[in-house]
Amino acid sequence: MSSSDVVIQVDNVRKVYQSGEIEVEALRGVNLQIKRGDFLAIMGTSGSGKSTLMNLLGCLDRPTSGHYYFAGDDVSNFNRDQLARIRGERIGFVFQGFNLLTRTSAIDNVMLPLVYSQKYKPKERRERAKKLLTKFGLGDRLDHHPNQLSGGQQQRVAIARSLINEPEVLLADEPTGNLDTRTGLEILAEFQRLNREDGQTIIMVTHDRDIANCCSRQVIMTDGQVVGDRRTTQPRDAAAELAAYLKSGRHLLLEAAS
Amino acid sequence: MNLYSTFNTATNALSANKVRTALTSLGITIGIAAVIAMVSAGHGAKSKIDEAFGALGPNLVIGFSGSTTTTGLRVGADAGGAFTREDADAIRMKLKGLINGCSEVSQWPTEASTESGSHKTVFAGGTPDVFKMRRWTLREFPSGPRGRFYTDAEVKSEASVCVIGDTVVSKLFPYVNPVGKTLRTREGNQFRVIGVLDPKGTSFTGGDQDDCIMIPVTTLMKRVSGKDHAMLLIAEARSSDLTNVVKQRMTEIIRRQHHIRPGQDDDFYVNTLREYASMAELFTKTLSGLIFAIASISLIVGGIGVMNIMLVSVTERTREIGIRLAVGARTKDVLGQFLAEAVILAMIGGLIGITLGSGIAWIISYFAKWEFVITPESVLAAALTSAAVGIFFGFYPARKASMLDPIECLRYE
Repeated sequence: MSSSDVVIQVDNVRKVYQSGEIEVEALRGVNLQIKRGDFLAIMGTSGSGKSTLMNLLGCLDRPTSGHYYFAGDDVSNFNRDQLARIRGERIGFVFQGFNLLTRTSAIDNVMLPLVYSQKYKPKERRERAKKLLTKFGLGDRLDHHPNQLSGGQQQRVAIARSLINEPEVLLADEPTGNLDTRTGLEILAEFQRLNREDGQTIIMVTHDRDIANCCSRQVIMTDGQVVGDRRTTQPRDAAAELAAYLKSGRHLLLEAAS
Repeated sequence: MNLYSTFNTATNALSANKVRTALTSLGITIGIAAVIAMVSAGHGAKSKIDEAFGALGPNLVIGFSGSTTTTGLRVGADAGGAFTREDADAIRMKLKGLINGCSEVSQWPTEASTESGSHKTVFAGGTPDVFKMRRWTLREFPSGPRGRFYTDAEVKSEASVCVIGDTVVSKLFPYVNPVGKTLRTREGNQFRVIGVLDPKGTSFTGGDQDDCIMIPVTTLMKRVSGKDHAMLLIAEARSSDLTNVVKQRMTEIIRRQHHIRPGQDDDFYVNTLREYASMAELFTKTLSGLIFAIASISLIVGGIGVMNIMLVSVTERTREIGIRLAVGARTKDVLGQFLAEAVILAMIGGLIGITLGSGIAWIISYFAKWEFVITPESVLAAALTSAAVGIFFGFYPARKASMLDPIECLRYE
């Protein structure tokens, strides 16, 4: 396997927070290598350092020491605007709380990264955003505002936004945390399809073993260190489970109850 | 992020809080409106003052009866005034090279009547020099006899002739050419109209300059008022440089004429019209300065209002800032976005202020009866000023927004 297949290389990264007088070591020498096409879950309880690692991988933060290579570039010492550029053009984010701009339409939300990267003309931006939203089944809701969309639809808008710049890595932080079982399965099925069909590298942070089992690789963190890194022996097939779930009619019961 | 996107984002954010935007702009609106109204009114007042003094004859030197003394103002030694024919003649002779003319002037209230009605007005008695000095011109009529001013011979002979102003014409001779007609006064005197004056409008003190009947000063004093002294003595310097010299020489000559010994108080005082003009100008300038100070304070207060609201806005939209940073917004993008908001906020205030100020200026000009002028320069200056206020007071909040930490912003509830 050639080195160009490695998209993320983390070497002995430490992250120390100053919390008043006390120093908190959130990451204590993390080593991690992620290849193109990986579908990776970062697991751990709260306080395990998985969110800190996620922020570092997403170039939202810089390590206190150690090196972080993103597609070969050592971004550990990148300045604020250089990191912003990487976030805007090479990384896509999907958050638990969707984080869409509330007063902005679905299509404008999706176009937002393009507004900052300036790679495309306004007309092309619109075309691309429209295409992506249509791909995620939201072609008829382009001008809806987030509060006019369901949770699943909002998360799909967020996924479309994260993919608009064709990022090398898609980072998802508890993407199904705010969703019900059915919608969660839909989103997971979407991720699996992206990974399988488009070869999209996906890193997903979760505390839920069942959700991690949808990924092909699982990294387990405890107390700021990677304590486990294994391939999922038999990944769940979210799409198949969703079909079975719908067939069972349990969702109808739930809908009737609610 | 390009200019169009920045502008769009900013206007979207502002239109989401319309009432807040309007209230925040208000401070700037008031400041800019004050500046626009002040500049326009200043123009109007100045051109009106210039016009008024121009109409009077800018180089006039005027002797008044009475005097200011160490104990205060003493008005006219008697109601008849201080000046005689001889005073005027002496000045005309001795200052020949310095002045264009000199005349004693006396006024007397009267009521004149014709078949068309009667009208309360005033007699102004003078010599033919008055017409020259005050820049009076004769009105031409399409038909009938052409008018003329009265002559020195008519002054000497105390002739019962008159030259009438436009207001008097409209009251007493509304339909006919008055030249050659006769008007009658309350006292029973009859005057033949020999000329009609072109209208001059109101003076800078607000009086109607066209509401008078001009007759020879001798006729006024001997036949109408019965006084032998005139209230005023008017001379016109040949050039503006000479007004002060003429004022000084006039004072000397009249003192000699009146046999006033050195150290004794004068029974008259002499002023140049230029002094009045500069007083009026000083007054206008002081007033402008005052309004300018108020406008500046209003702009500063308005600017602080903009800064305050922008700081609130930055805090409220911390999460939005986080999202924007996460998807690739750079420091300058966020800075630009909030700066654009502040500038647009201030310029909305500015544009409303320009409109409001123009309206106020128009109302002032309507009631003050002067020309309504809004110069493009003042509009441009107002727009730039409001933009500058937006930049100055918007910079700190925008800078604050652009320096926020993306992780903390995304965590912000």
